[in-house]
Amino acid sequence: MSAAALQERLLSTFLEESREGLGRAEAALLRMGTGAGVDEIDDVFRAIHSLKGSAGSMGQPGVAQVAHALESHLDGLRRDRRQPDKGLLKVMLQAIDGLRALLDDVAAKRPVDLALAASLAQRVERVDAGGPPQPAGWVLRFTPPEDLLSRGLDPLRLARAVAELGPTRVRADLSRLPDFESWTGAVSMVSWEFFVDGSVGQKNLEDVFDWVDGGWSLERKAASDAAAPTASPVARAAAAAAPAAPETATIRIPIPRIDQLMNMVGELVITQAMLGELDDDGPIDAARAARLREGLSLLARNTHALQDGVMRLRSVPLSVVFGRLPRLVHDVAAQLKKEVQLAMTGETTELDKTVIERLGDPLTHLVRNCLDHGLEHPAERAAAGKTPSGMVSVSAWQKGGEVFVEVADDGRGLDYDKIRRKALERGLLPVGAAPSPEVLTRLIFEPGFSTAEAVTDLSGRGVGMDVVMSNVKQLGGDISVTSTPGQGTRFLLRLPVSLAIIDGQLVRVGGHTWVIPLLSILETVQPEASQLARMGAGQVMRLRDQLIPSVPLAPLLGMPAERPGSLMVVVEGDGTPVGLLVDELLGQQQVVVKSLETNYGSVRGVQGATILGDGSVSFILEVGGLTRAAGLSQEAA
Amino acid sequence: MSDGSSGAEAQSLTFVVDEREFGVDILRVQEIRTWSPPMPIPWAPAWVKGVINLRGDIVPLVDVRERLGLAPRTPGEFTGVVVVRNRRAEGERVVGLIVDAMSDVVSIPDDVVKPAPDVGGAHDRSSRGIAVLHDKLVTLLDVDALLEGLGVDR
Repeated sequence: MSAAALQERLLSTFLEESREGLGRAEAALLRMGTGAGVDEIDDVFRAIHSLKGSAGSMGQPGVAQVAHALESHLDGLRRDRRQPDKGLLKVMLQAIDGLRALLDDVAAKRPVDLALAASLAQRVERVDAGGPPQPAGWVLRFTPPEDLLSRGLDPLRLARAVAELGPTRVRADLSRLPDFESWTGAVSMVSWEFFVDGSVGQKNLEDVFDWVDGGWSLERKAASDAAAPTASPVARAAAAAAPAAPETATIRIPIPRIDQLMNMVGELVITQAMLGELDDDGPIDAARAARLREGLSLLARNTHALQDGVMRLRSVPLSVVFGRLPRLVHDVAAQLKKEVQLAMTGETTELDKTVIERLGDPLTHLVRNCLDHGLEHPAERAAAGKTPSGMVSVSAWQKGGEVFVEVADDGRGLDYDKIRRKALERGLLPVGAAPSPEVLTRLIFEPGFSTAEAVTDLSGRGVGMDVVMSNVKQLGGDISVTSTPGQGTRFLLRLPVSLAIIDGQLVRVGGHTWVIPLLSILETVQPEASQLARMGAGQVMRLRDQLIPSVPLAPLLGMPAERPGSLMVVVEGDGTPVGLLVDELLGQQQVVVKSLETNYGSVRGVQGATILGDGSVSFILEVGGLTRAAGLSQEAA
Repeated sequence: MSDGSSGAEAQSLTFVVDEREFGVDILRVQEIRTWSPPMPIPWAPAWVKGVINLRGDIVPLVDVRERLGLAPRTPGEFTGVVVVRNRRAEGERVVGLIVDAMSDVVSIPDDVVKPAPDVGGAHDRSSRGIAVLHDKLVTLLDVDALLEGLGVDR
């Protein structure tokens, strides 16, 4: 491996571990903020301490500087087994945001913002560590007279004497140091600042410096020094840290998983050897045919196990995304002046890495939405006979080949009247319409639809529920909403476990085979003539008590229909069922999704390609895109 | 293939399209295959014939004939596919070029390449020039210019 490649790998490990460490530190700090045990401080300390160490060895002085400043505070808290107070907690969280921004700079190979690092470190240093014995402190500035040393006074002894009086921090000012050539050991050019604990008596300090003629001053440090006016760079850091969902190119895998994989490969090798024995020029008699069949079925089993094993390598627990939520809830609740409790379950549920990465934004938006729109202010809740503090629960579980993520609140629920008014205003509903709650619920996913009275800082970010929906749809998933006025709203996300392999229904259209993801199929039917009616250029099918639009699939794909399709695949388009007429229904099978974009580009209505058992290429259809292109969306209302 | 080092000449893979010879830089050629029916891509332009499975990769096939604005023709027994590497800002991609027949690998000295005169054809920009050899003319194609716009959603 070349030196550059090695450096690159070290850097990516550094970034990954640092981000993980910051996440752990942040989570532990937040737990402390909500009154959890003081033992959490050890976690925070360890994370920041190792960040400082690795930043130093990776040549990232900016990161190390901030980490060092944090570490000093944490060390104090750890020694005294003390909870950080609100002010310190806030500054430490901001410093963590700042560190993330610095790491983003490192990742993007931008020059690290050293000014930001310095101001963050300074801000952390200046913040009052809090705690009972420290109402304020002393600042002792000491610029020794030039003849100090020749008079036999040792500054080190003075410093030790100060430190003996009580907790002390020292800062040396080296700015007056001369060039190396003009250096002389006889003159002291260094000056110091001693920050001494407030519990130390003034007299004691003055006694230490009694022997020094001048050059020193003593002043009382006000407790309000903590609120130093350096908010702007920190705010900038927080803003910069917010949107970047950094793309991590590496994945960490527990060793047992690799061992499992090794075992499977071992099995495969044995099967191969067994089949290899049959590979001579002898005739295939009954005995050999039986062994061959046995070997092939073993091979099928091995392949399947190996496939599962490799898929599991790409699986990461949802805690990666859930981990961000406590901080989000903490910040947003404070901003909105609401009281919120967050409950999370199922963080260990695993999903494909790509799904997890793209799930972050929709999930945080949903949670933010619950806080902003769902939960009421404490007074309003009390008036409704609820606890003043609202509840947001985020849970996840796996069922079959799907993972469900639920975001629920116990707030006021969807205000259907308001949605209806807004929809009428925007012309999304015909005048005089009395749509069902289901139809109204679907409207909140319309682009630009918001019932918020005023555009708040939170909802003014340009990300709406429509983006949430389309993100989830892109992942091959779906969102459903249930809401009870006065009792709360529940968003249920349904996601595929993996993007790499999907269950598909093979259909024949225009002489070619196409794959429709099973997840988007509601049912397949063979409609009778009596179920169909013409409507303009299209057709409508009666399916039980519902009328659904139905179209031949061939023209949607720009293909000639071989014969009038007589089989209908009912799919979930954009919120409404749509019937697609196909020439023939073939089998169902798992298909491996291949990128069409690598060598070509994106195609409307196609989510990827796959290779079928006979080696031919087939396209995996994206039903939402297809029906949108055909103008079949949102018509059922 | 022995003396590509002289610097004054480059090797081209030549092929026949519509009874005329064309060449592409041999360094861009990954492999040569026989034609097999591709899976058509929905809503692709007529010159994009579809995609094939190239050892597990999905590779689009471009008909050089139709790309150059010449009359379409059904594939015959000599129809071949030149698999080339197409460089673009987003990175390199692999594309198959459908040609009427393979021809040869020839060394073309730089000084016999003349700039192509403007004849107002459909895809002049994809010609790097005309190589005047003693027995024939070879139109040298710029692979990247030829494949510009491939896969761009219209």
